[in-house]
Amino acid sequence: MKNNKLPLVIAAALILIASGKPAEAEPYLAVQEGMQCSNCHSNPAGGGKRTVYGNVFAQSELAARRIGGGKLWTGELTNWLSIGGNLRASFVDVDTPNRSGASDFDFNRGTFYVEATLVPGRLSLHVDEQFSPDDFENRETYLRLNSKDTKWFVTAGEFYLPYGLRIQDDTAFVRQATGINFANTDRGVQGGYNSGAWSVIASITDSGAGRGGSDNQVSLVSSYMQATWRAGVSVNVNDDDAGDRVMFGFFAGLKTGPVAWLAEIDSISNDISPGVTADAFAGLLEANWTIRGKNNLKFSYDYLDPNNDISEDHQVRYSVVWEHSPIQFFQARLGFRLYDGIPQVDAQNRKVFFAELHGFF
Amino acid sequence: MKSSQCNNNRIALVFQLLALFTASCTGGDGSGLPPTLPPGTFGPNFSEIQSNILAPNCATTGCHLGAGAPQGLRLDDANSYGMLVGVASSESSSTLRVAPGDPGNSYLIRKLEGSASVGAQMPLNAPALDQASIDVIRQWITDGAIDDRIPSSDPIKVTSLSPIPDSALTAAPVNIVAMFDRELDVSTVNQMTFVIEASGGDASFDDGNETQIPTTGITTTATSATFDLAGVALADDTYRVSLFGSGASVVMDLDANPLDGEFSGTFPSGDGLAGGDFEVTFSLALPVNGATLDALQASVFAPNCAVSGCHTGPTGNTLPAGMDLSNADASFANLVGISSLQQPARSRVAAGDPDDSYLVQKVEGTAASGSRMPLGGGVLDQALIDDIRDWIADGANR
Repeated sequence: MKNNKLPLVIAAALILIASGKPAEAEPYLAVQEGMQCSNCHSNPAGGGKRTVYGNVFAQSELAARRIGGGKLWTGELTNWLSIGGNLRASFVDVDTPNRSGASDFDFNRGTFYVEATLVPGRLSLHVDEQFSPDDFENRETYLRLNSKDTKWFVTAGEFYLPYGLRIQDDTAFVRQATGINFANTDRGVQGGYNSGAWSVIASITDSGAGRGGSDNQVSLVSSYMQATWRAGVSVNVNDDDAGDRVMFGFFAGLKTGPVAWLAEIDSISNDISPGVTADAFAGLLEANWTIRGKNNLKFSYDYLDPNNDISEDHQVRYSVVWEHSPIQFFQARLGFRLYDGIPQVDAQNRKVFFAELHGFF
Repeated sequence: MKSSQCNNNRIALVFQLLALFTASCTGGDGSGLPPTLPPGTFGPNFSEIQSNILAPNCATTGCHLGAGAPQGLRLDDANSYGMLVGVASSESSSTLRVAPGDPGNSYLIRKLEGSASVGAQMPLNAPALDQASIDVIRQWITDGAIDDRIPSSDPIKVTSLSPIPDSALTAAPVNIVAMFDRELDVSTVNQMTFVIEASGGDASFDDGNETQIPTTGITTTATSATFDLAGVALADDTYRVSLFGSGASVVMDLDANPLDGEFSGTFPSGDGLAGGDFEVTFSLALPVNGATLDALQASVFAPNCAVSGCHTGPTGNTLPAGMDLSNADASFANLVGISSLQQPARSRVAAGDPDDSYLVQKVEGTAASGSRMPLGGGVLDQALIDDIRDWIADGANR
């Protein structure tokens, strides 16, 4: 009994005594398990629909217990059609200086996934559609062609760009400042190599901002992985009529006992207008501490310097999040984020408490 | 024992992590950035909206800044106005991001208030803007969504004048006030460019008898100019108000555009081209306090003066017939401003000055020369003399 209460006591103590910060990211699972993102997700860069292995892992390893019995859900309706989905609902309380507090219950995001296997092992169609909180909105739709040995692939359509750690929290500075997050997709082609320790994914897309225009965006992410660590680089070059954006990033993962570490740093050079360039820097350090195998306590630290030429304009964020999946297909999250930014913008100094329920299959 | 040791190690690790995090730096103090004004303390103009709302909240790294800005919408200082005003939303192509004059149908407002049918409320993943900030943007759009940072090439115009052009006043105005459609360069409004003239009694301003009315001062606000007439005696006449837009000295706006002043009867002034004088007139006819000349003719001059053998005309240089008072026109012609034959230094009637009018002195018996009038007919009733005085004091008008 005493041991059962320990994780909750520690979590509560941390929330009280630390101006901690959370981050929520699924890549930590890959680090803990020593696997590629594509082992659990259909998308080679991670995120979205889960593979058969991903579904089985979620039910047998992630959940504290499995109820109902019966066969494991694999997502496969037929030999050629599989589906999946996510629904996140939350209560959020935001305390912003000089404003009255704001609390809200919301459906953050509801998505469903469809994967149609047109030629087994070789050709498939993938759809990722958001149906909440607003109207239906396409996130990803692409056709994927695999080599015979499935190590090589090419996709065409609309997809999330390959860059950095694809963590779930779009408010993390590395996701926000790069602009490569779950709010932005792009259209084009993507190719890659995914085998063993190496993973390389590159894409050329239509620059997003200028759909219908002649501008292009090139993105690349490459990583090398071992059982307890991984390291990678990211590059994004966005050639735009009004100015270019060039980003370089480094990321890494390390497993130290019960803790899976994630880190990412990004350098962003943005031509914001003729003759005016803003160089930014964003960073993330995240520790995921697995407690008794089924609870994850996540600490994260975010740093953003939006313009290297301007002094004292940087922002930091601290987060602490507790994640627990008591049963299969269900996860609860409790978190607190402390923003510390410039005094001129109240929103950069807010405190956020949230409780989230996450259903997925 | 082994489990307890493990838990202790974990607790130690937690505190090591906390130490690492709390040892990290805090946010910047903002000293390298220009100060921003709190909501509700700046006006509905684009320059302040850009610097206090759009730049710090929207034109941030990874958001509406530079290449890859979502929806191609860049909200940095250089691109913001051009990508907002009159530009169709890429999420809702039938709706303008900013529809000048129509905030309710501006996609920007819908996105900020969270009422857009497509996409999330802005700022994304951050608290919504406070309503005071949104209201300032609404007002800016209502006002036409003007970019106040760019010098205007539109000339300044007169939007109203008090007194109303072509009005007939019965009381002297205490000032003349002109309003303009934009901010004045107040240094260009002075007695060289803002002029009031009296016609000289003939309602004509082309015959050289005009007189310029002095002022006790010309004052201005951002969009108005006031010609002060306090203490200035205005006689019955027609007056012309001029604000010059052509010539060496002209009224200008802050962007050095000369006044577009041509006035065709309706405001605002102007013909669409910079330059051109604003010229309007008004007339003043002060109410008469006492008798009119016609009344005096009937009550005084006809029965007492224009009697047989006296002031019956014809007009000439002899008395008494030469001072013809046989009718009102003749009386006006022979009295008002005409020097006395007996006292050439004094007018028979000095308009506005009954004490210095020889007529009054003659009927009151105080004249230095000759007899009291009416000669041999008895003294005029004081009430009639007072009527003569009032008529002269009122200007001895016809």
